[in-house]
Amino acid sequence: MKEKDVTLEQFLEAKKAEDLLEGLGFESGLKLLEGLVTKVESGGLPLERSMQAYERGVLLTGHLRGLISGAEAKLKLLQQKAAAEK
Amino acid sequence: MLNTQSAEARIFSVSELAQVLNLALEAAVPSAAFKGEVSQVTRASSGHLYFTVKDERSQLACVMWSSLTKSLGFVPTQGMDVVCFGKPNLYGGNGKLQIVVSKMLPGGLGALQLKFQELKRKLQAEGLFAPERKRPLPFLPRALGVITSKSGAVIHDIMVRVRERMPSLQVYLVDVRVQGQGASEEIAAALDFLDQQKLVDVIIVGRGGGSLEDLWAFNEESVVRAIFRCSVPVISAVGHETDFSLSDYVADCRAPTPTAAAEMAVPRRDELISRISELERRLFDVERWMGPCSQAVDEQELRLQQQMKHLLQTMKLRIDVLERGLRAANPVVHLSSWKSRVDNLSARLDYAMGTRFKASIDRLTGATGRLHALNPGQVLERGYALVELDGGYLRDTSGVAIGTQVSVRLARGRFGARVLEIDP
Repeated sequence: MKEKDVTLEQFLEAKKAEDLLEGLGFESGLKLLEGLVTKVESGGLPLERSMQAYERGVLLTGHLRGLISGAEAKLKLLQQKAAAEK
Repeated sequence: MLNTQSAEARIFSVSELAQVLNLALEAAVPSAAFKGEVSQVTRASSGHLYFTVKDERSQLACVMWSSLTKSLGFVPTQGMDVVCFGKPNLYGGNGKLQIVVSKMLPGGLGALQLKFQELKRKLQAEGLFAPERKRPLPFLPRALGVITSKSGAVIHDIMVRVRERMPSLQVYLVDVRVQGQGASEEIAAALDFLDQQKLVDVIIVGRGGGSLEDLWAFNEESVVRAIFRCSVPVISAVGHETDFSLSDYVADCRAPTPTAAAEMAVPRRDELISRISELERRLFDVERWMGPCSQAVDEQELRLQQQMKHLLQTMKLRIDVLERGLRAANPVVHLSSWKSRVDNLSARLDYAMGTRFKASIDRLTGATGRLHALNPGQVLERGYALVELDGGYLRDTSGVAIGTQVSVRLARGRFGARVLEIDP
């Protein structure tokens, strides 16, 4: 399962950021968030873009927290058909 | 290589010949593994170990240098079966052939150890153990695959760690035999199976501690190749810390214990949360990143104010100029000048009119005076009287007789009179 790669520009430009979040892995998302926060902090963005970036940053943190939330560690036993065939 | 021709071409010293023979030996047999029975073990004061290894028909003198004997792990004794690895050497000092042994193992395990070394060498040569091909472990796997016995300690230890670090992680277990006949086939098949299913981002394969025979499945070529071709990173956790299996060499990562394997595979949730929280904090620190923004706004505001001020001044100047111009064009101003013009004209007119009419007025005055003089009242004022009879005034004595009643009007008043005399 290759993680989807989204650049910061894509994430900020996209009309619907939620669509880009789907399938976005934790590490990619975290890198994206770090880039976003750094960019916002740099003060280089015009005000409207800063606000949009801020909102998207909040969206991203929600997504990341969701990826690691959940209480129970689920263990599933898989049946190996290949071995049976051998 | 030494051939008869070149050998005959020159005459060597003994040392030279010994050297040439040594080089030839090393080239022909760079190293070899052999087994046999130990006899005549001697340890010199230098620490070096001198011994003979023999079989039914032959024997070879061996030496193991002191530094290497330290890693032996056992004491070679007379009559013991051993497996040795070493390289041939012609010791010029005494002209004796000896094998310089680098590794020695007790013979019981010899066959397996041999196989191990052979296989290791073969697979390494193929590049299966190359560090470059090892894949990095995913930062946060979406699911973890474990290939081990479902009843062993491995899966239990792994689950403990997983629950502790990332409770939300999905773990898939493929139950396999981890030793004995058919185990290696099951393990290899399990790797292919998980790979095909594309369910997991990382795999831990392993078993608990045991002897070399117990662990042997993880040294089998089939398992090693299955790990190599797996498209997902594999962590090998076979046996104890000190056990090294071929699976360990080929895997992307080697874990000394199943617990360590879980720690490698799964990040700590609390660490990730704190990283997110830290980024959140920085993001929410709106004032801090808005600061430069709001400062920019302030600066803009200031600039704007100054521009406005400047603009206002400019406008004011223009207005003054316009006002002055306007005032100059003001009808009120004009009016007074008009007025004076009118006054002027009117005066001139008056004068003109006055002069013109004076003559007429003089004539009129003259005429009026004469008229006044003709006023009967005026005549009466001069003392004359009007005699009235029958509604008419008398001018002569006709119509009048002695005794006629007449009315006499004077300038002021009248009286009645009777005619006493007539003088026609």
